[in-house]
Amino acid sequence: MPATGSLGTTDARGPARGRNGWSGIDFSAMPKYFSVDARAMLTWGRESIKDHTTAVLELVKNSYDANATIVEVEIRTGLFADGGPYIRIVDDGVGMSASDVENHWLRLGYSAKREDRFTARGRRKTGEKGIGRISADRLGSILELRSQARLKPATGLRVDWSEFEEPGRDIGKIPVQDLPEFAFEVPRPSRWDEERREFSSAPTPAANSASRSGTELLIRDLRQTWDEQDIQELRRLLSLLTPPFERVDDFQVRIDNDVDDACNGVVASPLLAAAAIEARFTLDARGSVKGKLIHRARGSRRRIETSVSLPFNQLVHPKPRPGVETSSSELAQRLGPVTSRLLFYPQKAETVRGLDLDLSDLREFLQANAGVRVYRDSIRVPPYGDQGRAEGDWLALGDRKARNPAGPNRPDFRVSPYQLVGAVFIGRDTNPELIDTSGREGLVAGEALGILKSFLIGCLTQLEAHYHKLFTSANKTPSEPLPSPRDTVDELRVQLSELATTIKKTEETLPPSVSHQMSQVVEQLVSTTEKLRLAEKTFDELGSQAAISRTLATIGIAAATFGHETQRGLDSMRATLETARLLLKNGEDTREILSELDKAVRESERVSAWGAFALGRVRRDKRVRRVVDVASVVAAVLDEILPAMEASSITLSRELDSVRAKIFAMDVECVVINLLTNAYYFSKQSSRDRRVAVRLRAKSNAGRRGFDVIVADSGPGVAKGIQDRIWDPLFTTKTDDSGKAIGTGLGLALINAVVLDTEGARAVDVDSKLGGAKFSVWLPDAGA
Amino acid sequence: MPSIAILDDRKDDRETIGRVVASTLKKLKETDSWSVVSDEPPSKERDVFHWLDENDATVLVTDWKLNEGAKGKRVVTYEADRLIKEIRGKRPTFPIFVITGFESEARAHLKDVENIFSRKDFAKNADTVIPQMLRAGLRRYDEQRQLLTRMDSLARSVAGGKASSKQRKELKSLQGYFQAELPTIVNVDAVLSEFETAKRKAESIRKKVERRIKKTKGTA
Repeated sequence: MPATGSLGTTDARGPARGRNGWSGIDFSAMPKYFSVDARAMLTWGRESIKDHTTAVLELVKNSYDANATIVEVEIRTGLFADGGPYIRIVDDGVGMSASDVENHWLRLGYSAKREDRFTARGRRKTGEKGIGRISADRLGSILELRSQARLKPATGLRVDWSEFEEPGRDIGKIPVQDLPEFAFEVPRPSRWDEERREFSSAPTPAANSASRSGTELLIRDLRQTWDEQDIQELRRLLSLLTPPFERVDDFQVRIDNDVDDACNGVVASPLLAAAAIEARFTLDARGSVKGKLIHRARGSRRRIETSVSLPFNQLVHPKPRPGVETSSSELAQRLGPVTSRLLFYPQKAETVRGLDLDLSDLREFLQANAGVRVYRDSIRVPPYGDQGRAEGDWLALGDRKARNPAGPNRPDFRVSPYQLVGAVFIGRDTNPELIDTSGREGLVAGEALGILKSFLIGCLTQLEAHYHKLFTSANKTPSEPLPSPRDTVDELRVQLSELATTIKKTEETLPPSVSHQMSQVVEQLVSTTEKLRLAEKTFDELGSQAAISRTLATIGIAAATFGHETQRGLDSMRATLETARLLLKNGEDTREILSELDKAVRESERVSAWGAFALGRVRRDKRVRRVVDVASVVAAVLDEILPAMEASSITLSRELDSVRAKIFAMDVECVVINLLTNAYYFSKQSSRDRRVAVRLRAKSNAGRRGFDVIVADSGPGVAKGIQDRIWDPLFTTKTDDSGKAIGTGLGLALINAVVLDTEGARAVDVDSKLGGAKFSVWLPDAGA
Repeated sequence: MPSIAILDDRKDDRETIGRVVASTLKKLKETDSWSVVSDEPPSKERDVFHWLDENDATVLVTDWKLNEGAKGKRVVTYEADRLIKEIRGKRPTFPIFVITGFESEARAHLKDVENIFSRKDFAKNADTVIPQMLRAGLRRYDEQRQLLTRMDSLARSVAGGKASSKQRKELKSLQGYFQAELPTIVNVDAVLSEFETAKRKAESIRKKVERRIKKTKGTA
């Protein structure tokens, strides 16, 4: 229990205060001070503590702040209780030395928590007011405190709160007695029995000693009787402090009472069952990820499980370093097997329904437990998962949410860090590459930690996709898709011209006055039709501009992806030129020199081809919608990308039917380049033979003529859970060494924009031949 | 003759590096003491030992990104990281140099190598770089020779029946160390035990035959 306050030590602040009856002193010249009536302190404490169960909770919170791993709350009310009814709260925390007790515990309002808001275990301290210790008064009139700090002598004192109740006594004048002996028993945490799925019985406690620290509070002369309801309420309150994972040695509270036997034992968190979704994932050393997504059925506590099994490289696509790709199973091997559990708690009434908890309880629980924590061999590794600390949000969930605050109705929904309680379990032997930093706080920011982060983000993405799916299916409202602006203009034009014709036809049969009015209406209609025609033209121009923007973005993405090929080309050019120079200087065979120069020329052609590739994309003739030979547009792109593919040993095959369609050539290129960029990246993520196949075929869709562009690859494929999300802007599964997203998340979104704009269609599937993803994009012929 | 071994998945690149090394050796008048070999990475990392020993290599010069090139063939599934780890596991002092287009990333990532050079500057700095490689290679050569001499003397003691248990233990550990380099040494054990088994079998057959002969004589 940390030192937190003082029952008031007098300090000499100048001369003794004047009292009536003193003479010869000019009181008006003396400085004036407040003095504190001892009763005031009790009133203060009693008013801040709602009831006796809250008082126990406050004392247990002090144990939490003192880094205890176990707190035992013993309540004996029966006649046979040793020495009469008592409450005993004992922990294995850091304890206090005699000077801690004197300088801190006995100093009211002092709170070490204000000076350092985090404990050595990295816990965010729960109280800051420095009055927790007065809670003892709320429980009984006698308090015996025994405490043992590491490598210090034990200490102890006795406080009789009834002495503070005498009116007119100054708080600093009430002596606090020392205890004659300081021996007490320090509890030990109960072990989780995996087979029996319950905690084992409490291990035998050990006597306090210089190597076994802790604090015991023994409260006697209890002020209130405890009934079953009180004990149950106490258990409920204490359960909010404990993490919802059984197998962790983090913080355990054990109750031992003689009022309600059913409440005895380790207090488990009821909130495990409250999670809207629980994601349990295991990554084995072979790189396969198995898991379950468990959600509650609507309106009941029934839990529904969805099994997930996929290779690591479908869960997330970590990119190790520029220019170097590593297979995902290899990455998994480097990390070693890990297990993760993520619990998502939306802060709404539905979450706590049927749990005997309210939203403020949920908030309290999340305050103590939100964050994704790391447990090595069941022991917590700080500071991961500690809110408010620099590395607490080590997965940058806050940043991730801030960049994309979409709600759960959107497919790119992301959970907020304050709604997530998570744990990842690693082992010293099983994950040797996750090494402690020299400061013993946190892990070395190496490659394995990066892979671990990627894994967790992948698990979280699965959880989010699942929640979005549940959310939208629960809130589905049938809605017709909105017509596109161009459709609306077309429709209006047709209606207006029909109206004008009808008016013109009826004009002759109408009286002159009406006819005149009609002429005016017709004129107006003609002018409106003209405006609409102009609007349509503007749409076309805007369409062209959108196509240009998309193309520019596409060039950017392609440059980033194939960029290292260009850099490699430039490096090789310089290397071969320098070699030629060296050979020349050393008088080597001219054939060798020429061979090096040839290589330099070949590389320079490759590099300039890349420049031409970028410029060729934005040529003026491609900026208008016209009838184009789609096959030759696609073939030209493939020819230009082929060298980059070959340089990475990717076999690029093509099957292009002859297709002519009225379309922006730029849109076709945007689709093909982005699909190829994707295929290039992902075909290198698998240990299979690297292959990419492109197919173009004419195809009608719902009576409209058009064509399909299909790109298949030998990569890991797209996990089912995220197939709907990949088309959203900024959604990416590509991560870097530190687990941070590195993909732009724009490639497929650009394709999606083309599809929406042209009213096309897109789909993603598994390619049975190459084993990876198969993307199909259907675009209509605008001239059909 | 010790050699400098070059590994690169791209033919053009390993040819260029090979030319730089060979030409500089000529300039340093070291062509009689050193040879240069180059190849694409073996399909499995552990096969590198066989290739190194076959060519008497005492220095390895490798590309970092080994899993890109090899046109027309199946690309290897590892990078130099794994190769280095494999070599370090068996030969902690073997000199390894890395040539890459990503020098700064490699410096941050690869720790257990002799040195890392930028591909584009390799030829330019050949005069300082190649002597560095030769020094490391000679050191390795001497080390290896000393170990082999020690192993030879131990083997002689063992064969002469004069070896202490400590010496036997040392020989065994040296045999383990050179396992990949000199597979025949380890196989001597296997041959001997095979011989012992054959001898035991022959002995039991001999006894059987003798018994039968005795039996036949008895009945006669």
